[in-house]
Amino acid sequence: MLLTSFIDVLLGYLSSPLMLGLVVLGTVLGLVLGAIPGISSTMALAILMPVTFTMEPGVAMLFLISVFMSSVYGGSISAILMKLPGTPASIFTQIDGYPMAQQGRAGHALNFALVSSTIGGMIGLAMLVLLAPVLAEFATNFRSPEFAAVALFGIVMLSFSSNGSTLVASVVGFIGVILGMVGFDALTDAQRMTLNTPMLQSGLNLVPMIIGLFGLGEILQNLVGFAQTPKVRPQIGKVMLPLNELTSRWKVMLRGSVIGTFIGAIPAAGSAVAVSIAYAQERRLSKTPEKFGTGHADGIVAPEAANSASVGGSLIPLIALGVPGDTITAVLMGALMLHGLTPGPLLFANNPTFVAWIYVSVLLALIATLVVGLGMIRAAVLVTRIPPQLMYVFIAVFCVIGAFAIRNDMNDVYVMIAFGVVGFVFSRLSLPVTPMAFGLILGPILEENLRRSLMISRGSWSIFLERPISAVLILICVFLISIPLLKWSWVKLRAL
Amino acid sequence: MKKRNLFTSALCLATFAALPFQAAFADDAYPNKPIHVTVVWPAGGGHDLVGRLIGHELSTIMDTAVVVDNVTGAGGSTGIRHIAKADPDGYTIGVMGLHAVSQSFMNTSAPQLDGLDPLAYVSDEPGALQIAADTGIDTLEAYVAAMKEDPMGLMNGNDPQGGNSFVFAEVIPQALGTDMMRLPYPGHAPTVTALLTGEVQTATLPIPPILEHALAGTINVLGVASETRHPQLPDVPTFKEQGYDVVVNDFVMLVGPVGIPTDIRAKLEAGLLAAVNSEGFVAAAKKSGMVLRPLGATDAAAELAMQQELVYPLLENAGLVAPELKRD
Repeated sequence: MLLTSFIDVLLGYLSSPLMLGLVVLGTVLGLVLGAIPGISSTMALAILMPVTFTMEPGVAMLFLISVFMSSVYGGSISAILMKLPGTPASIFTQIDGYPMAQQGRAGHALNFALVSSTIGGMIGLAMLVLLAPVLAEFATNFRSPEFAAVALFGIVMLSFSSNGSTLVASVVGFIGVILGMVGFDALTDAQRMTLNTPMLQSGLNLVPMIIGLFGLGEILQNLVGFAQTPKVRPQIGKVMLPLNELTSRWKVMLRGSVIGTFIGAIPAAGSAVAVSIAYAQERRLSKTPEKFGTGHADGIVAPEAANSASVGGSLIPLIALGVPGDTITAVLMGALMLHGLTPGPLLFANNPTFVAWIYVSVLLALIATLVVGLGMIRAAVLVTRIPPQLMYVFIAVFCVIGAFAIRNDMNDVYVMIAFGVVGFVFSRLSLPVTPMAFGLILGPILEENLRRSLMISRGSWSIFLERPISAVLILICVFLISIPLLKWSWVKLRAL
Repeated sequence: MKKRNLFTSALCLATFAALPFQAAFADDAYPNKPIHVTVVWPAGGGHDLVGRLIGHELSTIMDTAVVVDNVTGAGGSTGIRHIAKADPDGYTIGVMGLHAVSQSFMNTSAPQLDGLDPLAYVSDEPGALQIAADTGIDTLEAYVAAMKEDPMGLMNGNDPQGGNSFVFAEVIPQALGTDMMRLPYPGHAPTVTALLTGEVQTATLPIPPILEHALAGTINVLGVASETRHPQLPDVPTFKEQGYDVVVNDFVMLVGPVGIPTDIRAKLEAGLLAAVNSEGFVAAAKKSGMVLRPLGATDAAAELAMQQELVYPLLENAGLVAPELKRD
């Protein structure tokens, strides 16, 4: 039933030049908007929503989903070329993507990102089509205690997120958690660490902080000693990737995609959580963890597969339950409402064709992103040929624009500059900044859900062990923490 | 090389020379440049939808571009401050609701409402009480009985302090004579999710976020806190009909900074009212479950004053009014 309507819709779209044209247009717009720092996928959709007012619902859906899918990859372009994440979903891509581009392999980095995005997206879509009811069931079991356990799991993983001392990484991560508390408390609206100033009341937004830490911090770092030893422009290098470089990473792609789909399916978790866990997971499993952060392909592949797969994942609660999986699907829901299709359990039960529209749209958008993306790589890598002194100016300008545009608030620009200095000082002191990003993303989620869980259980901590999913996650955390101890005891025992 | 420099400087000079002309062109009748509608919540929410729908209609009516700016953060205060501090030239307006009233009492750094000039009233958003269908409770009577037996038996999902569903969760139980265990969620969407996944059993949300679920039968609406029944849920009785005298609502209105010149303000008010009354907006708003009640600037100001009187005692009883902002 669903399959036949899926094929019907697919053939219908493929035979219509108008539809194909719209997919390409949506993809190009999504790529460009996504690549501009500060314009997240959510905003790209909101900006382009009025364009669809006069379209038929199916057509509008196709256009908006094209924008959505391609903006996820678009965000990675600026992450790789300028160390500026265009969207929150691409904040981990830059960690290995930018060094790779600096080594003259910008084309390769973009290819890795694009191909793993496409494959991740396909796997996410396949899981959406085949497992939506099962995954929706799984997602509804995710309540506050499970959220808290996932966030805890991510924070434990952060100790695997950077080279060097675990203690240092944990301390930096903890600073990130504390910074995530600034502003209005999510549960009581009480002010914390705001010094009663309007500026800090808005809280420290993730994107300006990341832009400052990584983007501006990098420029400041490069300016040191720039006059004595001007930086050489990296070579463009080969743009096309040897196929075996990609196929040999199928495991990484698969793991990233599965993590992305599952986390995407949990309502309100979002792609930033998916990429942070996928990145840390890959680094932990890697045989060469020290290569991460120096331009290692696995460090691009895992988060890119995860962020695209989370798109399919985030559509699962929307289709199965009528609740948006994240803010991006919330905007999609808003767009549907404008077309008189209020999402909810009824819509999807009564309109199977509509579900087919969504599936076909995601598929076409993925293919269009791959094709358009491949075509754009050659042009995009030319960015690395811009003389460094000019490039730094561009990046600085984009840092300011990106920080401002996220909430239209000048305070976010000051926050960005302050964190640029922090990023600079950290790199001078050889301290890792990645764990701070983990703390910033996961800290607020952990705190909110931990407190709510304890409200539900009236203060009893056993709630975390009584529920199977959170119990398993907590056991894994305990195991991960005790690995060094276990290893040590093993060595001692063997010596006996 | 020298030639190129010459070209560049000529280009720069030409650009600067053109700047004053742009200003000169701008002297024409209002509106002659884009009108910015500030939405204080992120893209995708109810206010965002209202802002974009009205913006779409307004751009045809006023024949100028309308841009929606999401200025978010600090429980809506950042956006409200953005509106209050904007040049009163009629090019910056915004969408606001009950949250701004609450913040003006709770947060000493939030802008006071006398910095805002109501331009048009859009809709009421009556409070309501919902319960998950799988609890088996489908009447208010049964709910009150269950709550009297075990006041902690059913948990309620609502906003943090100051949000509309928090205010509803204060007012409705008072009228029912019951107690309520309140779990805060940051926003309406997570509250709906919690209600559907069974983390909470009841919620005090306004109708739009739960409309589809109520129609699908997964959520029962036990009562609506308005004088008349909700147009999209004509089978759900009001609290008054069921013998509990409670009327409480959030609202959506359009405001600008104080001091917009009279002629521009009149044009803006007329344009906004036309947009709110337009066929396209009315149809879309009704579908999403809004209760439209378009009113002009004077009535909007009266509504705002009334809401302030309603909310202040509630927040004071809950101990949430900031000491510096207490009335004598």
